[in-house]
Amino acid sequence: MTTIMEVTHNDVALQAGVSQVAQNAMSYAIKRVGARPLNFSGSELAMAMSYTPSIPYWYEINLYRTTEQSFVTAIRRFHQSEDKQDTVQAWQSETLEEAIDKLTAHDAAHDVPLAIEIDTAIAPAAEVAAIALHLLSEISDTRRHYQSLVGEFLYDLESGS
Amino acid sequence: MASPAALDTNVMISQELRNIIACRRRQNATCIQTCSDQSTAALQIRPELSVNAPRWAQIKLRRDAERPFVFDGLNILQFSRPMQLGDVECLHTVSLYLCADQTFQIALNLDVPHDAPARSSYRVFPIRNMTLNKWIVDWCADLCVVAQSLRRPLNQSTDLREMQDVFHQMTSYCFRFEKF
Repeated sequence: MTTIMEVTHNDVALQAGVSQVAQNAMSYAIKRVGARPLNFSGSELAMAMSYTPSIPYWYEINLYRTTEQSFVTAIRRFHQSEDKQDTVQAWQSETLEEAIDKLTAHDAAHDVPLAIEIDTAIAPAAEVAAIALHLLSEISDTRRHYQSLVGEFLYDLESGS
Repeated sequence: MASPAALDTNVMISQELRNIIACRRRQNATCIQTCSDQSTAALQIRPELSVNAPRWAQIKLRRDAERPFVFDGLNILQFSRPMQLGDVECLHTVSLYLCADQTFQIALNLDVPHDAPARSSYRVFPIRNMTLNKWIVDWCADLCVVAQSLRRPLNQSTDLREMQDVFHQMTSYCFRFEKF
């Protein structure tokens, strides 16, 4: 069952929301990995963050509404270490439903960097296997971390409204 | 990049977004009412109006990577017990729900303390004969990932023994429940 609505202009509450967006609009330029920055005017609708001092990275997810009534989803991965590159991905969607689908469809495995340089032509098979296992473990850990945050965020979204 | 403070808000939902979702719910409710009006008389008997039927409550279950699972049902069994993973004491909860459509759902939660180097895990599975083994295996795999995050040497046999213990207790209660 669909529980999130598309924005329509025939609802009083939404019309109030639209004017609120226009009034509180801010300019955003979200720098993206492998794409042009996503520039828009709008307001932030929601944010969730998974920061814990004992984990070397954390995720931040944001939902925005633009002044043109479209939605923007941003997924940011930050590292505590300054040596590692933070990553940002962002997408623009026509509806809130589609914007939330971006969150649930994102595979956090793509965010895991291959931190170790290895020459596969000369490396012993055992070393390659050990690195592969380590990478698989990191992927599994990252996926679960991200999925837990998305679950918490969507549960909070559904509750208490 | 400066790290946020440990006590920063984890989730922020603006009132504007809550309004949008509340509007959508009202629209859905209107739609359901319209469909109900068009249905036959037999189908219009709702479970909560029947004398012998349980009084269903709307239940929302958090689950990882997905929207919460929302349904009309009853919580019929719940077990919580501490589970030691490395130096971290987590809370393991198994809950069984009877749904209004006479199916069963099981919710498995592992609550990890906020300052631990792993996040809590939430899963919901439908209970069917054919899937019984699958959700136990999936949940054990989840627990192993959490355990690994907590830098605990894997000890699947202990985990499985503890899980089996919980499930045996639950199964015996299910049988007793069925007798009534």
